[in-house]
Amino acid sequence: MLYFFIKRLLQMIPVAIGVTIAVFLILHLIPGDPARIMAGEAANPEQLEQMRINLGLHLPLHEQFLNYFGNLLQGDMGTSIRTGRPVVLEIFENRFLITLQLAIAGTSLSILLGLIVGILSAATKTRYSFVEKLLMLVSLVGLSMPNFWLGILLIQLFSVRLDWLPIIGWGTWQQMIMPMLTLGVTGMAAIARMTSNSLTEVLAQDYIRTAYAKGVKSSVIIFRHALKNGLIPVVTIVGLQFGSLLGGAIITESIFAINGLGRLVVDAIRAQDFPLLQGAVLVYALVFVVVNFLVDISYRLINKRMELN
Amino acid sequence: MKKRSMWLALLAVAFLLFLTACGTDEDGSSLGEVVDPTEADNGDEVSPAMTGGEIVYVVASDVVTLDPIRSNDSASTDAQSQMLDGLTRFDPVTAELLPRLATSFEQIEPTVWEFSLRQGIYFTDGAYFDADVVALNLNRLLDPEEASPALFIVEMITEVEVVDTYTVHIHTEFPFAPLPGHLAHRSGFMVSPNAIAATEVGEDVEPVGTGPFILSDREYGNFLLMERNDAYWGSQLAIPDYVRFIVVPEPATRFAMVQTGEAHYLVGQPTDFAVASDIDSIDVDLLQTTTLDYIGFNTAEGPLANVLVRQAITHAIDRNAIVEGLAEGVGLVATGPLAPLVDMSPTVEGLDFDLELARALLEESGYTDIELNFWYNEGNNFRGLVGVFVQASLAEIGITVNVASLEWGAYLEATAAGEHDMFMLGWVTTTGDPDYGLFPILHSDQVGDPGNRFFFENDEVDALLARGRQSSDRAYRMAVYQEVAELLVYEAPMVPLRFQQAVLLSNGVDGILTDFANTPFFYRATLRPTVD
Repeated sequence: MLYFFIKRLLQMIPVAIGVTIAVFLILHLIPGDPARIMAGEAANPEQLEQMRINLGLHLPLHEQFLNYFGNLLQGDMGTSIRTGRPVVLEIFENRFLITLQLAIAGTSLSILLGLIVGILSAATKTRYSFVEKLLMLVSLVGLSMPNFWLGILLIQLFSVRLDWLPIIGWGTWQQMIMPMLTLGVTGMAAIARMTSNSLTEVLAQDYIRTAYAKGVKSSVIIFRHALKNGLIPVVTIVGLQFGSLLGGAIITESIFAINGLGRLVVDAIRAQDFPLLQGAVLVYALVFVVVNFLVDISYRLINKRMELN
Repeated sequence: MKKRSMWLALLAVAFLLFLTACGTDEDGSSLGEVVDPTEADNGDEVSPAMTGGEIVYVVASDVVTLDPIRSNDSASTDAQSQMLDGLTRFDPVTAELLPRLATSFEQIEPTVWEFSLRQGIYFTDGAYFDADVVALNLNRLLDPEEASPALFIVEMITEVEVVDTYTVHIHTEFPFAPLPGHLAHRSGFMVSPNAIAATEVGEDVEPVGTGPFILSDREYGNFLLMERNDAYWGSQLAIPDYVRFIVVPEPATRFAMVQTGEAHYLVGQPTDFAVASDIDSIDVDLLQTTTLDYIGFNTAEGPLANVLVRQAITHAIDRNAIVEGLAEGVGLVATGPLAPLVDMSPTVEGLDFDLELARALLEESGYTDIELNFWYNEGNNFRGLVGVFVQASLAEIGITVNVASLEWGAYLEATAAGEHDMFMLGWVTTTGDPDYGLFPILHSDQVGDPGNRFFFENDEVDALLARGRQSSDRAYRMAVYQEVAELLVYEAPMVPLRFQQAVLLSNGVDGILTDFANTPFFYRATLRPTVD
């Protein structure tokens, strides 16, 4: 197990380096000049050049990259062009934690609802097929609905019509409900469908039929015997969902004005704030790597017969 | 059983971790709270029920910088305008240019302006305001190493001479009549000398000013909070305790916030006007601004170098349809380059929508099979719609138009390099003076990068613009700008489309003043008592 941990941790290094190079190159090769944006439409060439010097953009690309990478190894992700503050502070002071909370909240909600809907759907498939069809229809709607649209609908319902919930912010439980729902519903739908399919497959197997024949209660069969086998593919989906929820957080944070990492990325893109964008994308990539690692570990925890490699 | 427990435990731990980490970080802001009455020093007493509280202004993007010489966006200007004062200011109600930290200004020689300064003014950090501070601030703005995007507004200044403690002489390279108006621009705001001393060249200065509000708290990308300056020098203290700028990128969310009263004030989009007019809780106001939306031609080469082609295109575009259809009726149809609110604004007829005349002019020009590109900046839906409209309109006279959007930085770069045929931009005459409305974008000295993206070079226009900015004779200047405007209609380097109207949406608040550059001032704002 320890060997596996170390091996996987070491594997993260080339991934992180690769991502850093890719992000740096992509951002510097796309058209557009941050100095131009900051200097404004009426800037003359001298002002523009001075702005480039102030931002360090006058150096050759490879020098800019080596400077960046060297600093990165010392924990310095550079300084935000827009705010003039260290990128590390911009990302980790508040925002990273907020996005992590949002993604965990969304994932938890989607797991909870997804499992309930998925299990109910599989359990009612034979005897109450209309319930199963209804539940799958609900999950299909959830899967199809873009989360920016769902977010706006929730605002219209809970804030404008009913006046129950505040529209923006993050911190109180009232502020968390709509973002959690916006983020969690899409994930819920995917988990529900996967749980239902996987569980239906397991429920059709011989050992389950034997259990029924022995007169074991349905609930015991589903929760004790079927679910542990049915959950294995669901774990993969949950891992992938967590990644896509981090991406979904960009939209959710914009809709509900949550000051997380997702919004930071949007702001950085708009302002062509290269250091900030590089830092944020790097952090995103590392989170993905860590989540994949955790998914692998959870396979092992659920079913010890599985090989870690 | 073990596995099930483990999963439940995992879920529970995830939830617990999340809830624990969240905590509550709400501060105790006093929205709607009734505070002690603020008695103005001129004897006017403000009703206790209407004072205090926190005004929430919801904005689309964050304040980029609070350094007046470095900002280039409206949110930054809006925030700075609550905390800082300049030597002069345009009255938000009458649009009249008034002295502010100056008591008077006068052109004592053709190239020298004398500013007499107000006495007894302190910055919020206790520093004293005098002529040295004026020189320090203006020289900082003029310093090329600071690379201020607003340098072009004051680049005619050659020297800031401190005559005595309360008198400054500002020398200009050439006689420059609109200087007091230019100093009303936010780049001319005065910042405490202590704050400047604590700042390196190229860095942002802290917004320590003399205005009715003081910076209280800020979370980048999220909010900016200002509190009342209880030592404000003006005749009346600000009424609200706090003004909070909240950044909300999503337009539908901003609108919903004003609808529910979670925010008090919003500058909406044209499409919001009709919707908001039907909602009882929202007060809607249309504010005339000095912003011109225009389609520009690259007059340097090709068919667009021919004045007849430019006139033909102008005649082929129905500006009424653009304002009524694409801008939802929000805005005035523009006939010339200067909005009616601009001082000494000329009146011109413009080139009417007339397809027959357009075809005739095109034939007369001798050009056939013309193909042009029309560029606009990505994300600006209105400009994109105008592009498609122009494409369809010009197809009527046999001109092919290829519409494309470019990312903002790339767009500015390409249009400054003259790679375009047609483009769309807006221009705000922030100083209210016709010189600012015309010179930076149409004089031949400004071709390319500095702002003349039409690559328009016309000796007659150049000479008139030079005369207009150098004279202090109002009647003469009016005549000059009338002549320039008529000449520009004939030369048609641009199709002026509309003068923007800002859609101002508010809920539960009165007394917000907004000037013609669409900058709100909150010092007179009062919250209406909430009825439960």
